[in-house]
Amino acid sequence: MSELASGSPAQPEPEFDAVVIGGGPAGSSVATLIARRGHRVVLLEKERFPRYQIGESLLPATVHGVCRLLEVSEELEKAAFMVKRGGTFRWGANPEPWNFLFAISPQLSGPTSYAYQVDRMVFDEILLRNAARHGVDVREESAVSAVLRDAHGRASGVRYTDTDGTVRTVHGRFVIDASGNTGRLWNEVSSDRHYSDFFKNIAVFGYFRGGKRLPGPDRGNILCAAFDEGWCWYIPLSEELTSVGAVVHRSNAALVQSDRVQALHDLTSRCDIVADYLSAATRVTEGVHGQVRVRKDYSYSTGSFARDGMLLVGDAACFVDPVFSTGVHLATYGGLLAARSVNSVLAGELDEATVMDEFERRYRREYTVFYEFLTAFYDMQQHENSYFWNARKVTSLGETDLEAFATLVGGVASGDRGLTPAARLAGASRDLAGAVAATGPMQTESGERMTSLFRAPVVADVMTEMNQIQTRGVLGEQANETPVLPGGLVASQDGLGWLR
Amino acid sequence: MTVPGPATAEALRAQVAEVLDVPAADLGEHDDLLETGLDSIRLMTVVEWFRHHDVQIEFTDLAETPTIAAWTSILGTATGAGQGVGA
Repeated sequence: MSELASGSPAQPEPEFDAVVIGGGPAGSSVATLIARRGHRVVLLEKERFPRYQIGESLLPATVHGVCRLLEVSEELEKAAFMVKRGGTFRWGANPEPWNFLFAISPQLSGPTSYAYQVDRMVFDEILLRNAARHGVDVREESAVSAVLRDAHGRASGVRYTDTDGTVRTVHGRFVIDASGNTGRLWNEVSSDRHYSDFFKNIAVFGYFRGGKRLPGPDRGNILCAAFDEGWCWYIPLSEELTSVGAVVHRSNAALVQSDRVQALHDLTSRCDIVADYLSAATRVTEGVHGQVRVRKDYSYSTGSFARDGMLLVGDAACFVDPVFSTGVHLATYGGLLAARSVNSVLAGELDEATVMDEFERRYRREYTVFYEFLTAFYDMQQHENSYFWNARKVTSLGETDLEAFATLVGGVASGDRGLTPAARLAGASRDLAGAVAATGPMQTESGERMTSLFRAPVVADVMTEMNQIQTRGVLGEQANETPVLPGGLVASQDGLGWLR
Repeated sequence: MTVPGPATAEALRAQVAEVLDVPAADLGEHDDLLETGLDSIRLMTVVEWFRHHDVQIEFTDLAETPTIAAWTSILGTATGAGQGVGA
């Protein structure tokens, strides 16, 4: 797949500092943040935007963290996305739904205590046009087919097919693969990808008009409701439109694929709260939102996220699971880390090995803390006689998944608790279940206070970096960070590079 | 943000005053800082101040009792009476 650049021994100066493959949130983030330092960036996107994509529920770290650094906040506000104050979960021992709110309490909220539910056609295009406005050379309908390497084996550019069908090459000092979960170029960085059996599922989803809303201030929340076959998401995209999906065991794949419309109807009708909310709704059958789609949410992590001048960001690097809306966060966070590392090298401030190590370890740490949190989250849900839920107990984790988790935890030193991986995960699940019980149902006095939840170590780990980048987004140069990794780096004053 | 000096009760008070943009002398020991304008982002900067002094605390530790008195007590416990910055 990779090729040596042919021609004279003297390497010509590459025309770009960074070549970014893919124009989704990861790609547009990394491209914009490198361009903001005045570097030359080209971004190659295979489709013409706007285009459909799933992954609609965001977290504050994206909206107030990365998007502020992207200088796109005003555009996002103008888009008038549905405001989300948290997630509502019909999940676990209590039949009553409970909330996970972004604000620790109504009294102690702040400018980052909300996020958005987004139509990704709109959101992704806003970010891509914003990249172009920041000087990124955005080329749509430009599908990358191969990575080029110099005489030393370092990634030096890519080959792509442009909108006219002409095959072209473009060169840069760094190549950043943000080509998503269908991309194949991750193999250029590492041939090793661990796929999780635990999170392996299939999602079938569509759109409805006239669905009900959660009461009061929770009307913009994502609702995730567990049922016997799996769980459903219910995401209010506007007053009228709701995105609805059912996530079930991968063994249902053939059945689901044979009649997607029927499968979506059947599965949502088995999930009481979602069935109720859709009782007077009608499915959209026209246009982009009219299709019922399927996605196999394979969960994986690539063995290495950076090597020899090439970096992986977004789903090209790793993906955990849709249940806590972490996909776009992980993707944009990876983009931020990658940009900081590339910028530091381009500025001659820090050596490449040091900053690539920081990129790799911080990114892997974030993946790990979410992996742990989501494992505990699934384990919390009780359901006898359910194939889906019995396969999602910590005790069902297979050897390879446990080994992979042990490696992740060992590598990122996220608190050695002196336990086996299984015991550690079981403890996290108990902590989380206890915290949910202590919090109580939605819209009660205790249910509005997130102290118990935020205290659970598995949640606190997940919030560490998310809080740090939100603070950076709001306070800018006034923010003062501490290293996330032992002996690691901190962000530079402008947030776009690294410092020792 | 101020360059961190030693982790004293006075320095903490000065830091909180700066974050809230009020004179340090106006902050009562037991005033509810939420009423003085503390929000989640400002609270995070105080968390950062503690961490710069090698005191490993979480957001929830400060959020539960948002008063100068409570936070000074956390600092005292962490650094130890008469000693420098804790391990």
